[in-house]
Amino acid sequence: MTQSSSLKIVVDGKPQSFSEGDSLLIAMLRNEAHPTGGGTLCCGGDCPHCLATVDGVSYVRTCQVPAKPRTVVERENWGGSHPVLPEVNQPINKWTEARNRFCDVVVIGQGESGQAAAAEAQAAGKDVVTVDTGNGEEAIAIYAGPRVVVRTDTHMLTLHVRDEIVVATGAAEIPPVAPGSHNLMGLMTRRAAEAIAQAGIDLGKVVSIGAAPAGIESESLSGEIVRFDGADGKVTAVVMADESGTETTYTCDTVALGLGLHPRSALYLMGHDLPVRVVGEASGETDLPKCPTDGIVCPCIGASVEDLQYTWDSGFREMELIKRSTLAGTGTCQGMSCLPYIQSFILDKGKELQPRFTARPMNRQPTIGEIAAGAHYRITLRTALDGEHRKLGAQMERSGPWWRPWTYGDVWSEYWAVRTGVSIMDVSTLGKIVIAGPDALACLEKLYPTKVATIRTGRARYVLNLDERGYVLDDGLIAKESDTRYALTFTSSGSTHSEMWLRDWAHSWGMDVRIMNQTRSLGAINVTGPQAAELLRRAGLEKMPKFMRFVDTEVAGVPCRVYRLSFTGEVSVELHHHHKDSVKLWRVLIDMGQDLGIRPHGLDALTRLRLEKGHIIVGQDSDFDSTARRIHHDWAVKLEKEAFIGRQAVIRTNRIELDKMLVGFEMDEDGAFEGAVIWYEGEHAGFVTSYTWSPILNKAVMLGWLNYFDGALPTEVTINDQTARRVALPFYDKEGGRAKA
Amino acid sequence: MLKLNRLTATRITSTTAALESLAETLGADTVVMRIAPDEYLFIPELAQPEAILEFDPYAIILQDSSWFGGELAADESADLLEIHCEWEPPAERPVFAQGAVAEIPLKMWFTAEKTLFVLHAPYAHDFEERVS
Repeated sequence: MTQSSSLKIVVDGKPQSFSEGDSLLIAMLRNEAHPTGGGTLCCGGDCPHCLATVDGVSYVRTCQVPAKPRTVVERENWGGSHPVLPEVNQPINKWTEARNRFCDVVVIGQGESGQAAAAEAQAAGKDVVTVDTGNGEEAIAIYAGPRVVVRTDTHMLTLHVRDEIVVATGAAEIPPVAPGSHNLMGLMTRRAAEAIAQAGIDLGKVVSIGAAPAGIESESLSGEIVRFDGADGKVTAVVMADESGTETTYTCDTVALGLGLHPRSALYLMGHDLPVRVVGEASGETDLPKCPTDGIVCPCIGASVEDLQYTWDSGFREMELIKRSTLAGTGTCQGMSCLPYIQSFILDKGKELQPRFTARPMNRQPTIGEIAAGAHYRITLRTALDGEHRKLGAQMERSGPWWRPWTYGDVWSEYWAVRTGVSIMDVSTLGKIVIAGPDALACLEKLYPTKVATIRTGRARYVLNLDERGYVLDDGLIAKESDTRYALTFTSSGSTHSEMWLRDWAHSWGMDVRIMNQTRSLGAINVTGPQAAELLRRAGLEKMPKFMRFVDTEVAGVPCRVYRLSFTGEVSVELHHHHKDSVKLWRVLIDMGQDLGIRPHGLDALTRLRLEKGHIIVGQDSDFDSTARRIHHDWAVKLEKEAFIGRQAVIRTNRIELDKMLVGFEMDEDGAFEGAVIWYEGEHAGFVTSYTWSPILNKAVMLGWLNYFDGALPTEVTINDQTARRVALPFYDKEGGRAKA
Repeated sequence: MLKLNRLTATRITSTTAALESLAETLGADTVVMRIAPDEYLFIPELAQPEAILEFDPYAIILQDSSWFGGELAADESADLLEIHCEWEPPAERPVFAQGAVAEIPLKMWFTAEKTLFVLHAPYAHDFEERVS
């Protein structure tokens, strides 16, 4: 071993030399710098006394980290305080990569028993992965799967195990509990003394208690430890008591403690119901120490014997309760220091040996970066026009599973473009499902509350989807392509669920149908406004289909399914087309509509426009218990049909007196908001679900749930301290002439 | 690095028997992915997809331009999957597999030499970003 002046770490801002092969702990001890200021060192990664912040990462066990040039160590808890957690909003400056490996057997620990287990598995032809802290790999958790999570110097590794996990992590040495044991320098376990001496560090006068360290000249002491005495933070003597209680003081520079072993079985215990086997010292029994009488039991938390006694006297007498009450065992070392003493304490007081407390992942403190390794935000889908929206400066919002433009910057310009000119909107997110087969009609007839058989080819109809309780699940269109094939639309948020709804029922009824969800495959652009027909004429659509009909034709050279419908209250068509054509179609429409004042509109404008028409948004205006009757959609439910999903429930609920309705309100002044409480004669009467100021009507309009009072709906209510009048829907274009123009 | 491009593809929903019958008529230059029990994805798009109608007159055919894909050499794809795939890809070749990679639903066609990664367009931007 050579010590070179060129090899330096930086401790608290000062360069310190180290030798090749040193751990950071050894390097610091070589420079007489104890990482935490005192406490019994173990050099085995089990105790909390060598923790420091290393290269910005807190809670690093310096005995487990090789010293490397320019490693920066900060002894944040020098003097006894605990490491400081990073600021909550501090950016993560160290991104950790995740890796996955699949194997038959994982052996954790490569001591004698671990090597034997690995060799045995390899001999049996197994694909074996070994994990050992000596190689910079630290197993920190076992999860169902089973999976072993390993922290390495460079990444987080998840080992996916086919057959078995073998835990061969050995045993920790039991530290002393006595006054001075947690804060004096010069105290160390037997193995730690051997390691430190082997590194060439002078231990001075050594006394040993219990098993003596090999290769070190020491005075072996007998009896019970009474206390450790010290000066300037360093141990100067140990006081021992013999069987008669007579105390003897032994001066020393170092105390080496061989007090027994405590199995490192946490990994095994956290996977006890998985194919996990424990071997070697990790499978042994704890050498139960004598019940402590004074001192710090849990050096991580600072829980003392006195704390244990107080907890016991307070009536908390089970291992888990004592842990929760004193917090002993919840610190950095997860009970490796204190657990044997708590067991011993409970045994002494209660005359019963209780099992150790539960071991849960993780048994080491990973960084935020390590925890986040491999994690991603839940994906939000992008339409083919996502890039176009962003180029136009749209404010994008998550809407259901999709990114959608909320506004392109000026919602009222978007609004007026629809009401007075022409506008387009990306509606690719709408659910689009095709159903075909000999039973297609029969299937839809049983699903929907409308008379599907009366829909003629080339026509579409607005429909509700009800659940078995008669509540509104979603809404959309049924468009008939042929006697055996229909195109269905759903809301943007509802398409995935609706596909399952459709498939489940079709399957359970044994219907001979094919179902294809085309939501993500097809783009859709809504063209709307009084000038929509002119724009479409320029794009090659000479003849608009009539209201609620569709044609397959080309628009701007793009094959489209053209649906005539309206959600905005103005003339509207939806152009459904192949995904690859979305950008072309969008750009052509914008180019051709320049002199018509075209501008795209986002969801903000759309929700205002449709509200003026009194159109609901399922999920916003409807609630979990919305029946068609409660939302004024009973016209869409044909109870004369023999059967459809929810029919029996609708019949039953129709017999019950209504207690609330979704209704329209208007106010002369702006000032309410979605979610506003509706009051009637000082009583809570409901809440607003949709609200907008309507420039074209010059008043505020809204939808809201209104309770019945004495069998009637109030005609005037108070919303946000203003008088609101209940009015019939729609607010705008009551005759409906504009959309059908 | 994986670079995704728009694919030409045909998606057909039909009976299993009809889909299998159609697949048997295709040459080795067509990648056939059974992406659901009743749905096959053919890459590149089929010149005569209506051939399925001989086996099932109700089959739903979509010349589907909403798929993106990219290829990586076998060792490069193994590296990518080691980082981003939390399930064990099948060992046999050639073989089709699908599941979450970088938490995005992906379809993969593994051959001895290379892997074709295929995904729906709404995911393409984010997938490329995550694995780059």
